[in-house]
Amino acid sequence: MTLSDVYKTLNGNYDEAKTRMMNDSFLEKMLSKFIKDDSMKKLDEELKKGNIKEAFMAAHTLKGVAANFAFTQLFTQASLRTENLRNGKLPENMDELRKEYDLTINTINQYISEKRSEVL
Amino acid sequence: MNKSLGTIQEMVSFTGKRKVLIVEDNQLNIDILTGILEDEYTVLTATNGEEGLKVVMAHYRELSLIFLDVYMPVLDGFEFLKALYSREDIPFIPVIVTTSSNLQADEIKCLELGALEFVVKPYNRDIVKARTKNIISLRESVATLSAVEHDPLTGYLTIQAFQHYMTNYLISHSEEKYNLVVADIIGVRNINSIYGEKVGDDVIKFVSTVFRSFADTILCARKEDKFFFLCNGAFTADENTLRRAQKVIKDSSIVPNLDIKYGIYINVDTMQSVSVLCDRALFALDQIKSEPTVDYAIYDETIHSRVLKNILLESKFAEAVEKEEFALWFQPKISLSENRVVGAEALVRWITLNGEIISPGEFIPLFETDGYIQILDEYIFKKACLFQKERIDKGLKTVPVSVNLSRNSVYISDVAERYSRIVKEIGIPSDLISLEITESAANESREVLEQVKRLSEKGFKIDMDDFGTGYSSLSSLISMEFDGVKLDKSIIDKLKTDKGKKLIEYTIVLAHDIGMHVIAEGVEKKDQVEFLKKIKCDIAQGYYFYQPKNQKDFELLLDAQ
Repeated sequence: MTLSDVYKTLNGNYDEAKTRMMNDSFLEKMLSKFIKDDSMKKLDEELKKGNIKEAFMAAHTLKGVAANFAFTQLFTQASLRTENLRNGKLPENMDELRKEYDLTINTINQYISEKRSEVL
Repeated sequence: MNKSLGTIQEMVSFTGKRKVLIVEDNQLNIDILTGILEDEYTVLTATNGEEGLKVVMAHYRELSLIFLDVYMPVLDGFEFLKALYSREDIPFIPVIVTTSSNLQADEIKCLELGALEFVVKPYNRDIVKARTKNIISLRESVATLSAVEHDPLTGYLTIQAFQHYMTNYLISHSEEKYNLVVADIIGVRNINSIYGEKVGDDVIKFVSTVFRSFADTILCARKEDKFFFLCNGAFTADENTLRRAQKVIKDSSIVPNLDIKYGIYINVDTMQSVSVLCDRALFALDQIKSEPTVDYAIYDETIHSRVLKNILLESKFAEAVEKEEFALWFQPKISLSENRVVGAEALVRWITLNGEIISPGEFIPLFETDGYIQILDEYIFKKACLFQKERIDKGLKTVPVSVNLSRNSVYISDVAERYSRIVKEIGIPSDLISLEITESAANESREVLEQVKRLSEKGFKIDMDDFGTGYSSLSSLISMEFDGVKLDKSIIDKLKTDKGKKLIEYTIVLAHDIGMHVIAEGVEKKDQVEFLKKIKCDIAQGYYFYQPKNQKDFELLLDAQ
């Protein structure tokens, strides 16, 4: 699996991400940080507590991060929830966002583990 | 935004990179932006507005730009902007807002709060870099305009900026006690003329560095060869600090015998204007300027009253000239071979209309420092010419009168033209009036040499005054076009000893050999006169012959001859 495959699976824009991060190795490094990013977790937690304002901030952050990685699908999903929350509403179809997020994490994890076994 | 700008030197760090701050709560976004910027900039980070303000407080002098996220916990971007731009103690730092929001309302709000630009997440490398570069260069071109705030040589404030900030500081911290110190590098003018201006600059820079390491000051400024420091208690109350600084300066100076003098104003009166406070420290300094063994003076009541007295004298000066309170007195000069009056030195006496006599010792040094002496010199010169003219017109006997030309007057660029015009206008032969220039002034520079030459070309006879005081040297006798030399009273007093006799004898031989006549001043004793006669001194003046006389008595003396 290559980085290009990762972006194909996620329907993202590999070229854009690579340009932003200058090269594959920095992009790779950033991806390994992405899986540790807690914006999604925070969003879920704040929603559970019913904290709309804090949930908005988490969704907004996730949106920004997704945008920077050029994860187009995830960005679209995060944007929709962000706008719901901005207007003070509980987001609809959170499952779609979660599904997309999980797919993203899983794909990156797969890429990283394959990469690691190559090295070994 | 009425904010001051730092200097460009402060914005460029030692690595040559400018510093930017990223305020953003998401580490990933920080990392990505850092990745874009770190080749060209040193990047500082903070994860919310509150932390961001702390970083700003610690680094505002060096920060060129801030990248600001809008939505953050604790203190968001809006609040950060409000806080950043309302604080008077932080200079203006431009902000670029980073946003993934597509809401124009947010953008407008940020702009209203003072943000300059936006970059949208996802970041476009080229746009981020170009905007960063543009904003920094715009800011620095504005900063260049305000660079006069700082002295480029030392990085200290200019005196104007110093007084401006000091005023604000004293208003906002009026409950505390402050001292004001002015430090003066003695003889920078000499250093410049001996070693060149580059060395003079190096000396100033060196001294500024030493002070920086010693003095825990609130504000410091340089104006020419003087440094001003505003500090609270500790610095000046502690004499040792001054002494240690003095020692470091003397020990590691690049020129020998570097001397610094201090005027100190302890516990300044914050009700007075800042320029008055600076003046007071300067007054203290003035008291010791010509005392080689004293390093510092503290402003106190004595100085205060002396200053007031001086101000009073100065305020009376113009009126005194107008009312002709300055009178011409004459000290007769005696030819030792002919034993008769062959000339006189014109002296000034200040007798007010209500009969008060103000001693020359009081007003001459004062007028030498404030420049009034130039007016007084010319006034006395004119009076001496008029005196001669009157005697000529009356068909009475005349002898040459010499007038003192102070060092201030020597420095007037057209002094030769001015004085020769006076002689012509009044219409007396130029050999009836001569000039005396003190040796220390004569010794000073090429400038003085030039002036003496020009006066001489205008037909003035010039005597070197006060020979034997200060930095006298025999070489100064031959370096200039003087017609005569006046041996100071202090050297005449040396006639008591055999060595003193030899010194004077050989000085006279040398002077005669190079065509100068010799006048002995302050001659008070018979044995002095006899010795001077024996070694062929030409002329003498002093109490042994005559005390200074007023015009009427002097004329009686001339008429009787």
